[in-house]
Amino acid sequence: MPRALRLLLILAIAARTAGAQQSADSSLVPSRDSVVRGAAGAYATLTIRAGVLVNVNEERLHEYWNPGSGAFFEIETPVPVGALSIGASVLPFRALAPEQPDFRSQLIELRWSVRRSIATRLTVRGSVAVGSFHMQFDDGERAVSGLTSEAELVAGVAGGADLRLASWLGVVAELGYHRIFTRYPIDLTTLRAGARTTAPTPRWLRRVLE
Amino acid sequence: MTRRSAALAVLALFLATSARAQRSECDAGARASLASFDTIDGALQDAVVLERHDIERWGWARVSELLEASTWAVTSIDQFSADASADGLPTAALSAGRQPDWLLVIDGQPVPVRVAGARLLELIPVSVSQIERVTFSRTPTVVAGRLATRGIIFIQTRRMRQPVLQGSYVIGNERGDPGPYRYTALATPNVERLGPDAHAGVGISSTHSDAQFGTRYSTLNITDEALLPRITPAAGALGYGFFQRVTGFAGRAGLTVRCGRHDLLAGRSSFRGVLYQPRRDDWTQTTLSHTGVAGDAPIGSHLSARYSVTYTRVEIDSLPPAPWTALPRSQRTLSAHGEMALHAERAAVALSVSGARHHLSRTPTLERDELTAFARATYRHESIATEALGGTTLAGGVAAPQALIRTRVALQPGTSLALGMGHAAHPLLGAAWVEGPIADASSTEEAPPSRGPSVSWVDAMLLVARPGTTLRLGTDARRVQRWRVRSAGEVERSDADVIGVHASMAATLAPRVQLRVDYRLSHARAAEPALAFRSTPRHVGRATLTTTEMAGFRFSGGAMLRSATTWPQLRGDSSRVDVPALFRADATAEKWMWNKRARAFLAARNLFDRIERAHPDGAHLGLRLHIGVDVELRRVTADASPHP
Repeated sequence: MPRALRLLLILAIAARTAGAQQSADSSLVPSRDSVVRGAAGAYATLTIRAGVLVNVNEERLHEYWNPGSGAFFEIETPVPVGALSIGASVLPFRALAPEQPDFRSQLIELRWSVRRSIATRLTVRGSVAVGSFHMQFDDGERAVSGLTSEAELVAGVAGGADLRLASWLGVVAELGYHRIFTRYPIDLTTLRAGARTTAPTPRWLRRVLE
Repeated sequence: MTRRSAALAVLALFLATSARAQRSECDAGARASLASFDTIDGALQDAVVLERHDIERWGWARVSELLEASTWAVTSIDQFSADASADGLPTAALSAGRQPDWLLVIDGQPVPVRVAGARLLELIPVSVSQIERVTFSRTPTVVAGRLATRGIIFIQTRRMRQPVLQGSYVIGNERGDPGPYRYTALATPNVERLGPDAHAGVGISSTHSDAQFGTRYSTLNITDEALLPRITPAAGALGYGFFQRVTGFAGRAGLTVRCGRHDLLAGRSSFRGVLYQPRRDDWTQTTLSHTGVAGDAPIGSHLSARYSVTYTRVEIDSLPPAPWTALPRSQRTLSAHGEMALHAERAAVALSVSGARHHLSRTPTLERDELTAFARATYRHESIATEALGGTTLAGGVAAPQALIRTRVALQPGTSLALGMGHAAHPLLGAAWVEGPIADASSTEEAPPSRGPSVSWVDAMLLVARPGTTLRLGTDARRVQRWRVRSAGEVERSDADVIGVHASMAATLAPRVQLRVDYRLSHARAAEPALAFRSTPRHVGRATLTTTEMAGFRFSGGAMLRSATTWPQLRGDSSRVDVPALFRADATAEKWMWNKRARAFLAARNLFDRIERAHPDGAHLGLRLHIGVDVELRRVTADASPHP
């Protein structure tokens, strides 16, 4: 967790620096409210979220593996309707019996979200996501057909809240549900908590996105 | 051959860039003389036309995937390469060699992609990224000096308007992996990853010429439970793994001179993988090399000419130590055609001669030379247009007649009715060849049937066009006479009838939303064996709801329907096997970036995870997701984007 916080701090400073460099073009700097609501011009801002996540549900998978705590990172930009983000998260699983190996999961997802301000500093957000769930097995001698990793389709929904602390900083909490489409599907409910920072999109990146 | 193809492609690029053709204004007479070549249908009556932006929309990266847009009956064992029947007659087990069949034409050049009885579409010498437009049609028409009676796939490659560097990469994944459960009692086999499919190319252009060159790579990791038992022994012993792949490169150069257009196409593609057969599958490497030139040009204001010369070689190598089967090691086709048209204000007459020489190693009895000659007359006057064709194909001293007559009447503005009928026979020289991959390629037999296969047909089509909506309703009936090898020396005649009804509608539902529906009902029957004629779906339909580009995004949704089929059992003991109906839903989202130089897309197929199988012994594909990126490095101009 301290490593995740350090990473978030570095990203926040980097984002602020990028924003300062572009302050000459005031049209690129969205208002405080527009940043929170995502109502600024498309691709005008970049929002970075990072933090920790834990798996809170129990299902068949947990008869064999115990989830640890993980971390997530997400970068988002507004689009004409809602916002699009690319996210990555890692979550380790520790085996309960020696027959099964530990494995690390990495979730790469594309997420579309909408948000609504419900108070001066509070915004709620709902999203849907699709992506790929990568599993890396520490299987050593147990290797099956030479495979030590796998990737599977995943789809999910999430809902959360964003509390604004400053014009560029906030804290976020989110409850998410993902279904991994393995032969025997895996359902994971995760609770995420972390920080959010927002800055104007660098001009070169905005040109690419447009 | 590889070096020769590469040299030709380079030469084509050089010619295209260095050409400084004399500028010549095309006068109205010259244009009219070129138009006199076209059949009266103009756009083929029942055509499903795939434009470049449609191909991109659905994320198709392999040629076989393009068949999804047609309402043809598609057959595939591995869901990687596919065969198809345009009219609904079965593609498998019941066809005799060289029966009149659908043709594949690229930029006016016929490309024979039939290999040992199957058509390996992935072997065509261009990649999907090089294609501008694909037309699927069952309407009998005239192309490259031949009467194409049972359908045509007409591919037009992209013509470059400015220098461009291209690249694309698509990869997919299918649901159903065991995941961590493979270390438990719930272990199940792994499921294939789809792709990657990659293309890289370059295009150049000048005032009168353009050229493009591209190379491609596609692969599939076969892990399907239906296929693994078939290929595991061979693959395991050979140590090839379970990957099959297609690689290839192709170049095209086009030159416009005095209103005429001339295209040189050269390419080579290779398929390394399993050639499925009923009794024993073969790991093979099949290579197709194609070189051809085709063009048309006005000669004065009342005369014009069209021509094509092509050479195609297909080679099959069995990967050691698999025993060599009776498949021909190579088949070579040299074909040429020339056509002259003389036109007046309302009428035109065209004379055409085409010849082909086919050579198949190990099966010299199937070698033949063909010569086809026909005359075509068209007459257009106000609300009526008529076309008549008569000719014959000669081979080995056997003459086979061919005739077509078609009339189109404009009933009122936006509404027209087309009626057509015809008959085409084909010489069959001393042998018949059972379809290879589905039946048994070793059944090549010498047998002297008295006549070759033939097709007789009648069709009608009503076209209603209103602002924002187009409706096509049609019906057709065909009788196909075929010869079938049952055993050594035993050849039987097997006639089949097929009746079809087809409808298509395109409508603009909202300023940026279009609906398109294509549907075909076909009923095929034959006296013997009846079961095989239920192996093509009776109902095939596709509906799509698409948006045009909005703020850099485009969204599409589609549904595909294919009714259940019943096949004669090809492996195993039971007499029949059923393939369930398919209802498949797809959705894609695209995003353009960098001033339309780059595009990323996400395509979900078989959203409801229904059983999707196109052959009783074939692979099943469930829910799958494809992600892809295209990049085109070019100057940005106002008309640079072809995307609506």
